[in-house]
Amino acid sequence: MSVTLPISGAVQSAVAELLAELYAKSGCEKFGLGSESLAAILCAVAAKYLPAETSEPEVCVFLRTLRVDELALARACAAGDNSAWEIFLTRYREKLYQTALRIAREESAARDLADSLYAELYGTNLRDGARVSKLESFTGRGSLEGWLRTVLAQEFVNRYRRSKRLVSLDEEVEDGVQFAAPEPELVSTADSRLESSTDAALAGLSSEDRFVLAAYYLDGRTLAEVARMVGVHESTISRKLEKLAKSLRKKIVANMMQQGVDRPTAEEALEVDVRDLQVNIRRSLGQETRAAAFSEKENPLNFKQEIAPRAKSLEETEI
Amino acid sequence: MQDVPKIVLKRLQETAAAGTHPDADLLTAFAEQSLADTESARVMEHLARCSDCREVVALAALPATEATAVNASVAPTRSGWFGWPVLRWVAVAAGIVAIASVGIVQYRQRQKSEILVSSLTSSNETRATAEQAPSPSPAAPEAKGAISPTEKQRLAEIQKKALSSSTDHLFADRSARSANPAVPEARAMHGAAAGGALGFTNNGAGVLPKARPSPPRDAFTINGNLENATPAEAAKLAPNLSARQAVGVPPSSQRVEVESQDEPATATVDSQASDQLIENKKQQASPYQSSPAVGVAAAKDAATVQEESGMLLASLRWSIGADGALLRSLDAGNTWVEVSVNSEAVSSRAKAGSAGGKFAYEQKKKAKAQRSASPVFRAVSAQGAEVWAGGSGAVLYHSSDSGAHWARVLPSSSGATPAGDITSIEFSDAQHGRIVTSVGEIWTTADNGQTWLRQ
Repeated sequence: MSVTLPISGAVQSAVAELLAELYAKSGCEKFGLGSESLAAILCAVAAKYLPAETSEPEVCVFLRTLRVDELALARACAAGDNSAWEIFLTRYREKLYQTALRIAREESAARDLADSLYAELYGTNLRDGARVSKLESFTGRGSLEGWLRTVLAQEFVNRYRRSKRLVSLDEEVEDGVQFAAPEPELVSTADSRLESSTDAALAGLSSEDRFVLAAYYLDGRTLAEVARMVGVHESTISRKLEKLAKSLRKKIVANMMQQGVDRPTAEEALEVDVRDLQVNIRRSLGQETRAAAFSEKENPLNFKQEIAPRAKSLEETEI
Repeated sequence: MQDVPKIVLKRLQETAAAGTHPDADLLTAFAEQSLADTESARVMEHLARCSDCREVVALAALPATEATAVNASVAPTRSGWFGWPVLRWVAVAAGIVAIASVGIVQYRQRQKSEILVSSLTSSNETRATAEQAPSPSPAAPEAKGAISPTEKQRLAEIQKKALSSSTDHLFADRSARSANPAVPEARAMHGAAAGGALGFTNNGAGVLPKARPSPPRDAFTINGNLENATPAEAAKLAPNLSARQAVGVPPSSQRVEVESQDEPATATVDSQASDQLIENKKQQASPYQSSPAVGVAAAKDAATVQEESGMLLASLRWSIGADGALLRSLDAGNTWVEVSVNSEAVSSRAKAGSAGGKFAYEQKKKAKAQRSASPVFRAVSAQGAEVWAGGSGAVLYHSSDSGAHWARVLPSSSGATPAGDITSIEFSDAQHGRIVTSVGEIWTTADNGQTWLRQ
């Protein structure tokens, strides 16, 4: 455990109360994990996810949602228990490779991806002279299998971003547009009222609505994919998008009118932007949302500067 | 999919992710929907802003085919009363019930066909042979002997009127039934048994039948054939006929009661199986060639009969089939028979003839035109014996005798006629009604369809 979080009294008493029950459920015994170690693990997990002021009954509810059996298996593996590793490998080895193949879509890259994850799971990283397995960080919030898939996906996204960046730099040089003049602003921000109206309209949406919008329009996910991520039916997403598109348009126009823009002008501003930007963003979406990635978050301005020349080069190659 | 304004995408893209990324555990739990609401909302908020985490969640998601299997194993709390294990057993049980009921139906059919064959053969004494009547029913000869010739004559007359007037399945069906007095009871039982066992579509008015029963008219054609056929052929055809009836019309016990009420109105037609069968056959050989005069008389006849039997009206139901056919049920929705508005063109023409004038001529033309192509119905409304049915091409038909006779109605208001298809008909009482067409026109009448007003 990297950071030792303060453990509240409520958590301690809740863990103490449920320990016997959870210990039996977890099957820790098989892996030679004592009830004290399980208690320590549970306390750490609860402290990590629950705010300090959580009451004891709430902690109990939380503890019961944990997958203690898989948690025990993962932690036993992390501790180097052989029987635990045997179980882990028979259960997940094949699935892990299959998932890697599905994510990477290519045999060698998939094997590479899966192998590097295995290395992390075995614990090649050393801390204080001891191997630290990535399984140590599994907390049983979701299924172990799902966690493995997520970890693989994270690893893949990280790599993809790195390699993408390299490739695109090469392309820039080859295309000879390295020194191309920076593209004019994607959106003519002449009318700041449009921008602020849009922000206000977006802020009025629920996070789920914004998630659905971003996943569909920015990431280019299919309706089915978005539906699966949110856990609803495809048709629900379709209806939601339809409704959102309409209501956003209406709200933005209304917001602009509040700021003293008359309706025809507001509607025109909205339409003009749509036509102008349609091409650009579709392209930059396909190419750049992935590459933008983590760095962008620290420095959002970088992002725009990075895309501009690349979007330009794309346009030229297609012409 | 409708496009959102570009500016929205731009602003959406430019909102930076807040805070740190959720760890793999949280993202997994989010995807598996096992997070508490507050946590889930936090992760969702992050995902709305962070394209990387969206990508991770999307990549980690199982392909559609596997997703259901894992969800089932992941969330055992969800498999409640309607979970797969229960559904499986329900399916097995339904299968057993279906097989059992098929067995019962088969058994009843065989019984019925035997009875029918026996009554046929015994009435055709001259031609019948012992070989074609495997198990003669003792009831049939007895019944025959009990009726005097004059009575028979009277019966025949009444039957003739009723039948020739209404090319209507209502009577046709009834007479077919009374031809075989032993059957209704057996059928009632069978209907109840099958209905109880299957129990899927039987209850509730206006429920569309899964399998449309074959109209009784087919049965009559076979009856007609029977008369001309040799006894051997008759014997062959008879089981076929009863099979059709059995499949088409399993009546409820209520309906049997109605019948017995009606019978005194037409005549005391109890148990004269063989005689009626013969009479029926003669009449049904040419049911559609009745003269206009007889048609009108019969219309009255039909109306009075129906007024007398309120119960019959109570169990009348109307509906539209999947292919736009007009369907009528005499037993509160248990069985459905297709009703043709065109074959009644004869009687509508008869009415028109008595009305005279240009209108009558037009009606005649309409009737002729309508006979060729059956309209596709989309809406039906019934107020007691008043039935209105409308459909594609703004066709509107009206029957004031529960569908025994039909007349096409052409709503017009200051020269205009309805456009599009009639999609809805509502009559609040016999006089007041409104129709809605597919192009949004609304027409109303306050005098049972004599005049119309476009709104």
